[in-house]
Amino acid sequence: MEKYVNKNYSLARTDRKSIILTVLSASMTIIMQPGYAAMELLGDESLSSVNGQNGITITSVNQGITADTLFWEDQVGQPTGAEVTRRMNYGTVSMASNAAGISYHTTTAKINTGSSAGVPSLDLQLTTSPFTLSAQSMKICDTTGASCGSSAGGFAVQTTSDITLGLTTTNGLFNQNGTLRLVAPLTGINTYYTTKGLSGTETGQKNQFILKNFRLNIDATGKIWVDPTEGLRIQASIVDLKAGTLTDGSERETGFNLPMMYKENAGSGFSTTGAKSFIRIGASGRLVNTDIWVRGIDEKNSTGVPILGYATNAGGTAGTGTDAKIMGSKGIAARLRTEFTKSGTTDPTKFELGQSGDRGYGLEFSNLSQLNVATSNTANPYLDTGNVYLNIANTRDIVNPQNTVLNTLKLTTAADYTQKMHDKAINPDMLVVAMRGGEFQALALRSRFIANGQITGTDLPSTTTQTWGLALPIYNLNSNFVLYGDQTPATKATSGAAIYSNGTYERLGFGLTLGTTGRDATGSKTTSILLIDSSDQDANGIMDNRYFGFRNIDMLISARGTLGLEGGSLNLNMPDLTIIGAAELAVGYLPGANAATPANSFTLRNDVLLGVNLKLKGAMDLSVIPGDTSILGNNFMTFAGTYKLTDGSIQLADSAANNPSRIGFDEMSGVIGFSNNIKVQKDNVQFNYGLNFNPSKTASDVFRMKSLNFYPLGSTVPQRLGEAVITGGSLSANLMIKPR
Amino acid sequence: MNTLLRYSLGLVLSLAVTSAGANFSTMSDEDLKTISGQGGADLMLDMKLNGGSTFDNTLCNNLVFCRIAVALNNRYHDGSQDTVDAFGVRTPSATGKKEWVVFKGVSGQITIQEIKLDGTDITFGATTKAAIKLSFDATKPILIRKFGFQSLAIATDTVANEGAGNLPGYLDPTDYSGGQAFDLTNPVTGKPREKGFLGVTINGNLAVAGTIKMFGCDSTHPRC
Repeated sequence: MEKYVNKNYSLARTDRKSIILTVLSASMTIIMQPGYAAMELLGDESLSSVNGQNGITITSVNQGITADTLFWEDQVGQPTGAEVTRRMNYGTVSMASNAAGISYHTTTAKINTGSSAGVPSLDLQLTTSPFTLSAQSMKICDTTGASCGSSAGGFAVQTTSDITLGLTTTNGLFNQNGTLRLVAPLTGINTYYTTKGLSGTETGQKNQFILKNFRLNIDATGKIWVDPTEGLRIQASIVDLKAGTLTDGSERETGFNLPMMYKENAGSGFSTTGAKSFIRIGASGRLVNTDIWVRGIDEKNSTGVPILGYATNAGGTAGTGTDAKIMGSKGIAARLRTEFTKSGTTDPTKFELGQSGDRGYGLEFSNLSQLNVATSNTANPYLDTGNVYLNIANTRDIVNPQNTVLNTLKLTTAADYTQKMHDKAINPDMLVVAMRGGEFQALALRSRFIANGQITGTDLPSTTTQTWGLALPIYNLNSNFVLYGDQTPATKATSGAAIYSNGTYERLGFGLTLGTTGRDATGSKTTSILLIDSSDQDANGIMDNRYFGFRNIDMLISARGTLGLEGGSLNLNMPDLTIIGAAELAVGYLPGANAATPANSFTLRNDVLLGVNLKLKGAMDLSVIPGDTSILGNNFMTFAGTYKLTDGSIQLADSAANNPSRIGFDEMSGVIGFSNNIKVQKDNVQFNYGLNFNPSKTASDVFRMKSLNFYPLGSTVPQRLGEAVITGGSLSANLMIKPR
Repeated sequence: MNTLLRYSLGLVLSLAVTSAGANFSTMSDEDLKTISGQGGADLMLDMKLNGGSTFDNTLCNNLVFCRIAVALNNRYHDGSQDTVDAFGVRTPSATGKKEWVVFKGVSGQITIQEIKLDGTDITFGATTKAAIKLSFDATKPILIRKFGFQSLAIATDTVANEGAGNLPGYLDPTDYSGGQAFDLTNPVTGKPREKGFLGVTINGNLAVAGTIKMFGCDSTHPRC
């Protein structure tokens, strides 16, 4: 019987020339290989040619699939104190082939079983031919489908080449004691979020937000199981994010690639041709010790303070009882934690941030480290999403955890952490994504400029090793993000000239609260924006990392409004935008950089130049204008719009810990038009600001700072110096930073 | 004011110009090891106020909306004062009309051609601190072009405590139209000159050589 055991079987994936079945128009064919035809002894030569002749091959062919509705159902706690069932409905769903000249879509599953050292093994290869899966509407409905909110637009996923998923396991599929290897080259995937015009000459006009050439090219080794309390668990000792080769005319192909683009007046169908560039986030290299938790959550029957609070009605009155808990008795909770590998290991992790599409530049971040850069700190930098909750909700307000630092500084009060999510007369049913305790503790000690495809020759950035880095670590990110369909024409939030149309469009209503914490108690984790100078080395050749920038940023950003894709840009209409923050502008050595710098140096004030406290309340109309990828130099994002500041304060404080002496630019108000852009070029970054004070030239919009205050040390009573106004005019500034 | 002086910015200004071009000699390995601060970045900043070196007459077609004004605390036409309670809450004078120093027709351009930003160490006695070093090059001066204002005036609100119907001093539209002056029309704006007693325009190159080092001045440092 030896012949029938697949000796080639191992956990490593090998290319198997499985039997190619004749494509049948029937939907499914299952063929068992008649392997016992001739019982004759095979020679070693013959054995070595045995290659996946066993197993099952299933081929499914379809001429397209359509469905009226696909839905995800959730229990929703309501302010009335009664729980209801709501569905996230995807309407008019269709799936069709995206292979040129082929009208049918093929899915092939190859299943091989065998054993590896006596342990039963399973090898599953799933291949799908290129397809486009689209839904024409997305809305939240009741269970009958008769009562729905507005559609937020359409959604589509498109693959552009055959994709083969390889899954190899031992001891079955969901066994904690088994092992699993997943090879998933999810590459060349485009997703489209499409909104339609609904009135006037723009009726039927489609504008799209596109993720072009999304990639998640992974090769992971670990295990997967289902735990009665933790839910679905995945643990991967190694996940390789495998980068592709940079070819002409393509974006950079990082192992994880998220290029965001925009297409105006897209017409019917789904194509990325002519799409313009927003931004691209990428990551490549090896991740280790990855943990994923996915579980259902029943908050109705849980004890303790509800995570998102109790649902409130459109007037702000909270419901009572267990059926008024926002998350309800059903919901999804998930968490991902993964570690990045340091330089000097196999395929160290690198990040990229830059322009998407052709002819764009960007930055690569490498030499990742935790905040404590001491060589004795062998712990890996990491990403931990914390608990992420996905729910449908019906509420006006959602609570976010308090930030005690901002409360102590009197920049916020407890009430500021209950955010009003919409201005509607009746609560819309909304999708809520909430994050609690998210962390990204990875400082890039080295950065360099990189280029996308179609940039050649002297336009390419220098490949010389750079000795600077840019670090954006985040600690204790707590956020609530709600989305709902909204077709009410956007009323301008400010008196400025908004770029976008006031016509009726499918728009996304949104509400957002986002808070960070400056640092943990021991100073090992931080939220900071740091420029790192790693040019010096000590006698042992160890980088002597200095930093300069804003550290220990406590922040609370809240906003609500609508988002649309009209008129060639991504448009945010925000009648409420509040930015509150406290940070330290500091210069020094990173913790553990040398013997004189302790690991807790971010808790000490030795490095602090000054403290900055910020509170800006107002409204904003913002258009994010994408970059043109067809001409070198034109690929950059522009942020244009109008900001109406109603209550602003910026205070600079000295480094004393309690009630330091401060200069306060307080009680600021006025209207400012702006058109700013950030250009990443081959060896520099340009920030171009254009500010237009009081664009409508009216007395009420004059920019005022009603109090310039000095706060003496130890006192909260200000000594007022006077006030100032800018009645109008423009201020433009171009700042170019060219790292050496 | 002592608190202000103790403000945590430690500034060390060293205006030493080094004689760089002395001799070309071979550098030893030891010399090379001492080279530091090669990281850094060059900063270039170009700022334009109301059109920069050319006054933006389109943007500033209504001249009252191209002004900057300042009112000092307790500076009212009748000498009255604000009252402030123990918690620092200010109640403005009920009778006072604010007096403003108004800079009219502000514009100009400042171009900083290069600032070198580096990380460096400052050693003072036995203490070494990391610092930011800003270096200026005298051959790349800061360019100041037509920076200033057309006229400076003192203007008073028309209603006490910015009450209803107040025309703020900073929006006072008074100009010299209808007057007899020989240069009635301002050639920069093409309009009658705004009321005021002083105009300033600065043109020049500001050559700065040397470095500024900044570090956090904490109590453990002998200089602080």
